Amino acid sequence: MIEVKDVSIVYDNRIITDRISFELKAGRVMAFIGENGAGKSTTLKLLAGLIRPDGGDVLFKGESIYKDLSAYQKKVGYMPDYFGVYDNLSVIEYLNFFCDIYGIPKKKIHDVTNSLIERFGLQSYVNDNVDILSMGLKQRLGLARTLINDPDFLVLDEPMSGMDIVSKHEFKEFILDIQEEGKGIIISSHALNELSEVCTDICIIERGQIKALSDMEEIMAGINLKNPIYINVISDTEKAVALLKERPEVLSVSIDENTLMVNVKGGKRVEADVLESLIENGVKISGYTRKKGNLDMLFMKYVSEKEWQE
Amino acid sequence: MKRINPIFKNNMYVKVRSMKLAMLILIYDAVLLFIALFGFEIGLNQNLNDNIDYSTALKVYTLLTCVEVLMVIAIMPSLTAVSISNEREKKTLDILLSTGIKPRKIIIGKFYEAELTIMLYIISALPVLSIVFTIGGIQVADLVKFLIEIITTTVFIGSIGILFSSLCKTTIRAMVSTFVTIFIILFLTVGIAVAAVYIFGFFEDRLAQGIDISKISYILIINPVIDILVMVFKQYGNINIIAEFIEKLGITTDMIKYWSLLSVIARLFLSLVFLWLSCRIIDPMKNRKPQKDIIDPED
Repeated sequence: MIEVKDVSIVYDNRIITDRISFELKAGRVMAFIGENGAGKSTTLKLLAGLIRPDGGDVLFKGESIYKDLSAYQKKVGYMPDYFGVYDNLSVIEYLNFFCDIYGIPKKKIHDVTNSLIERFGLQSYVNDNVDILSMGLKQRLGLARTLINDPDFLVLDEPMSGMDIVSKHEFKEFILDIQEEGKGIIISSHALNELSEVCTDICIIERGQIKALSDMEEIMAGINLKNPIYINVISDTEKAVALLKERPEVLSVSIDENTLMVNVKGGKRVEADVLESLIENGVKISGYTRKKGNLDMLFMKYVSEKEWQE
Repeated sequence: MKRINPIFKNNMYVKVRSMKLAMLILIYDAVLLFIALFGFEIGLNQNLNDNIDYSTALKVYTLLTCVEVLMVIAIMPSLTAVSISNEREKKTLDILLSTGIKPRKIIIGKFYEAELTIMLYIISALPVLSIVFTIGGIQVADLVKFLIEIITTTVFIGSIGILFSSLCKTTIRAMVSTFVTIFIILFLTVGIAVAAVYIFGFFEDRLAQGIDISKISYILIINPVIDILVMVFKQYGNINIIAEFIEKLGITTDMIKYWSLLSVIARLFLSLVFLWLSCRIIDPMKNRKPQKDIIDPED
C-alpha cells in the first residue's frame, strides 16, 4: 500500500535517514522502533507528508505521493508525539473543526463525530474542554481525529506515551479494532512490549538506517530460539549437567536449584534430541519451558550489538 | 455553496464568544471617545465666547484619525504575530498541515481572522469619529477615504505580522520582530527622508545636476501615518502644522496629488508579497534548504 523507497533525509547538513526502504501493507500493523534520535519521528513525518525527502521517494498504491500530496494526505491519519491543544474548544467542537478541515459535507458531520465519540467512548466528555482531558482521553480523541476522513492507513508517533496501564490496554484494543477494518497502521513507541501485542510487522531503525525489517512472528520465533530452555529436574541434577556438557550442540549450562538453564545451538529438533537423551539416560524431568522473547529483548539485542561494535 | 475557511471560522467562533474581545473593543472606543470629548472641550471653550471655531472639528478629526491609526498599528501585531507561531508552539501546525489543507488556506484563514477582528474595532469606533459631523466641516466622503486608508494599514501591518509569525519559532520573537519592523517603517523612513531633505538643502549647490535626492522622500510611501497626514492635508490644506511637516519631509505638491493612491497600491502590493512568502515558509514541501557539507551520523 505505502512504500518508502531509498529515502534519505538531511537536516542541518546531518543525515537523519539514509536510503531507508520498507513497505506497509493494508491490514498490517508495523512497530517502528529505535532509540531517541534514530530517525523515527522524521520518518513518520515523511509518511504524513510533512517532509520532502532529499533522496528517494514515497509511493502510495504505486504512485509517488508528491504528485498530489494533498490528495494523499487525505488518505492518511497522522497522530504526532504530542497532543496539540486548541484552547477553549470542547471535544465535539474539536472534532467538528477537523471535519471542516477535511471538507466533510455539513450533513455528514454530525454522523461522523457521533460515531467516533461512541466508538472511542467519549460520550461523557463531549462538552468538556479538550485542554482539561487526561492524557489517555486526549490520545483517544487524537486517534478519533485521525479517523475522521476514513483514511487508508494511520501514522501514530508515540501514541501510548504518558498513558497509564488501563489507557494503554484500551488503546491497544482500539488499534486492533482499526486493524480489523483493513487499515494499515505504523506505530512508533517506547512501550515495546505493548507493541508486540498488536503489531504484525517490525522495523528497527538505528542512526537513520533500517537494521531489521520482518514479520513480527518470524522475528519473535528467532528470538525465542536464542533464549535458553529451562529444564526442571527431579533428581540427578549433576548427572544431567554432565550429560548435557558432553553434547556439542549445548553451548552452556547453568543450575539454579533443580532447574537447568541450557543454551542450545540449533533448532527445535536439536532441543528435542537433547531432552530425549536425558530421559533415555534416566534423568527424571518434571518440566520444560523456554523464556518467551519480547520486543524489549529484540531491541536490546540490537542496541548491545551496536555498543559492542563501538 | 463555497465553504467558509475552516481556520477562520473556528478561530472567530472561539474569539467572539469570549468577553476579552468585547472588553478590548470597549477600551478602544473609550480612548477615542475621551480624545474626541476632551478635544472638543478644549477647542470650543477655550475662547470663552459664543463663537464656534469650526476648525476645531478638523483638528479633533485629525487627532482622532491619527490616534486611531496608531492604535490599529499597535493592536494588529498582537492579532497576527501570534497566528502561526502560536500554532507552532502549541504543536498544532503539523496536525493541520498533515490533513492536506493548503498552507495558503491556513494563512488566509489567519489573515481573515485578524482583519475581521480589527474591523470590529474600526466599525465600533465610527460613531465616535462621526461626532465631528455634529459640528460640520467633515464630509462622509472624507470618512470613507479614511476607512480605505486605515483598512489598507491593517492589511499592511497584518501581513507583516503574519510573515514574522511564519518565520519565527516563538510568538515572542515574532512579536518583537514585527514591532521592530513597524518602528522602522514609521520612524526610520521619516528620519531618512528628513535627513535627505536637509542634506539636499545644505549641499544643493555642490551636487551634480540631474541627481534629485528629494526623490528619496518616496520611501515614505509605505508609511501609513504619513499617508494619513497627506490625506488630511489634501482634505483640509489649511492645517499649517501638517503642511509644514510634509514640506520638511520633501513631499512636493506634485507628489501629494497621487500620494494616497500610490501609497495604497504600494502597501497592498507589499502585503500580497508578505502573505505569499508566509505561505511558502509554512509549506513543508517548499521550505527545505539545499544541504551542503553533509555529516554522516556513522562518522
